[in-house]
Amino acid sequence: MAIMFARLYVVCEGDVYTCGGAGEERTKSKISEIPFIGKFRNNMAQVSRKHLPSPHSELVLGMTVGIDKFYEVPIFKEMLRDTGTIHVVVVSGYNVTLVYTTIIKLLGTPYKSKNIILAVSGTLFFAVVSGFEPPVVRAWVMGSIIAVSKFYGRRINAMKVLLFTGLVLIVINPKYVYSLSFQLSFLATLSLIMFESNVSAKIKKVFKKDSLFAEDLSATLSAQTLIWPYLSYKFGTISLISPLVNALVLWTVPLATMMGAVFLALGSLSGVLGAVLGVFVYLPLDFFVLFVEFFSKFTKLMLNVQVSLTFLIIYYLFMFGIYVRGSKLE
Amino acid sequence: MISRGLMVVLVVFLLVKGFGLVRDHGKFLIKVFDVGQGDAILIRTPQNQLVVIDGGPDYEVDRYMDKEFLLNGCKIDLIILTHPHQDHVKGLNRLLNRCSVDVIIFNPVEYESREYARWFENVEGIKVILAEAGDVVMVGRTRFVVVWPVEIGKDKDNINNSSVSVLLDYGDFEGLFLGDLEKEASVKIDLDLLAEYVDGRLEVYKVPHHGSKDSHNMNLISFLKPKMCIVSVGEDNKFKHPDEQALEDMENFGCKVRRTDREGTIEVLINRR
Repeated sequence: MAIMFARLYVVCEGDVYTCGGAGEERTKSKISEIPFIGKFRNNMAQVSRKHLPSPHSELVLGMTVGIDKFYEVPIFKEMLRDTGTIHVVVVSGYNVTLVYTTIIKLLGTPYKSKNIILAVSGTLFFAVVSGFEPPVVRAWVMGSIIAVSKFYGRRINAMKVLLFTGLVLIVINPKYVYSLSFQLSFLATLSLIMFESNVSAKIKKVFKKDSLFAEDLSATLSAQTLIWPYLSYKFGTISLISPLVNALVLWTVPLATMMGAVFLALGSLSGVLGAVLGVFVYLPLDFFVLFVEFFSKFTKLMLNVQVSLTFLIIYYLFMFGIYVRGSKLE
Repeated sequence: MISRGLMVVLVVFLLVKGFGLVRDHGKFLIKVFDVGQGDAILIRTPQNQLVVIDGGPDYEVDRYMDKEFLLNGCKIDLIILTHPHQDHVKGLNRLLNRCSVDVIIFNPVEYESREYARWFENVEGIKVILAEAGDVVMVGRTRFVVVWPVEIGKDKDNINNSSVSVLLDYGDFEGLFLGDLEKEASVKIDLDLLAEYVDGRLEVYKVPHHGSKDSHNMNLISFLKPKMCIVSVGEDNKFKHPDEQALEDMENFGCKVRRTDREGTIEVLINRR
């Protein structure tokens, strides 16, 4: 669940994949223009529109195959932004992990070279079909390194792998430095690596026993630790309600993503299967939609605060200091 | 994979949603959806038939319509497309993608656009009534009287003036929905036809063309003396709709003006029989 938060906040004004600020360039890939992939994505869109209402249809397309049709539901898109849940509309590292673990589960064990090759190739295929966006590329490279290291029985340091992956991607495509989706995906993953275990321990003390809500809340708060000042610096807003809404609704996302993938695949083969599976996908999505609609009414909890660059740097240095101190104590 | 806890959450959620549907069951409701700059109106009859007039400029109408059903099914008794401009037809195309529809009323005026071409593809296989003034369509005990156009397929030079305009009549309740009809056409509406159905003052007047100056027809307002004037309009729209003078005139005639850009979706509950 925690890795889901690596897909945080990659939507800016009018453009899901990147933000048009000074010095920033569009990073949206042209993968979807390849005829086979374009046809595949169109077919998925038709299946979801036939069996699901909007915005459920747009949600399932965004979550499973990275198709962004949220411009068709602009009011709902605004609600997602206000509640800090817009990150669910993009395919991210979370989806790569989901695809990888599903393939490995189907094959049996991650300790066979054939299985590793198939899983890494399968996730690469998924990354290409979903548009090969920066967060997906990051997750695929990072995930592949971790999978291969595990196979050879090496101990891996997630922080080092993340930094190495970031460096490799920037060397391959320097434009990634300006990609907001890449920046936020990197920051959210870093934040989780640095703070998730501590935040999770504190949350567990409060809630006494394990629960999905507590798990989601700790992941949200961990990811937000490095994300919120950057969003405030970039967009001048801080959503106070975002951690609560995320903790309440995010359990629906893996459910809808996995069922959505099956629904889209089988629904394109048979209308009857699409109709039946559509009901099951609809339920978690509808829960998500109604909660987002409800919490979007609390607009006063969206603060217009823009932190300065100096604040941002001092804050990051401070948080890094806390992390280093915590690591030494451990 | 789905734990017992999740099942409980989903069942409770369905019960809460179902309660909302039961609450609206058997009521006569008009909902003018907040779809920004465009029109999308739902009429729920006391016999629970659903009538949709226009669909707005995007797919938001489907989000609202989904609230009328417990699950992802969708059944609409009557769809009325007033005219083929995108801010009226696009949302209807979305509904036609997935909803089962009994009857469609529209005016097949000549107009070229991708959404209008899709409309013709989508209505294939559905019973279509080509609208002409004087047509009466019954949905349960609710009567829809077409008051415009007087001739099918005309007014292609100004598509707004091809708008299918209907009078809703249920007992002593009447509402008039004019699409984007402008004054040069609305002055030609047969007032005798309106008088045949309107008892006393008109209850609801859906202000044509988002309250534009060109659509403001004082003669019609003074004749019908509407009690409630509803403007479906987008916030800070580039057309500067609605026209302030038109709103003032309506208020001066005792019409309570309500606007979707200020209130969001407007719901009118009708208690009359």
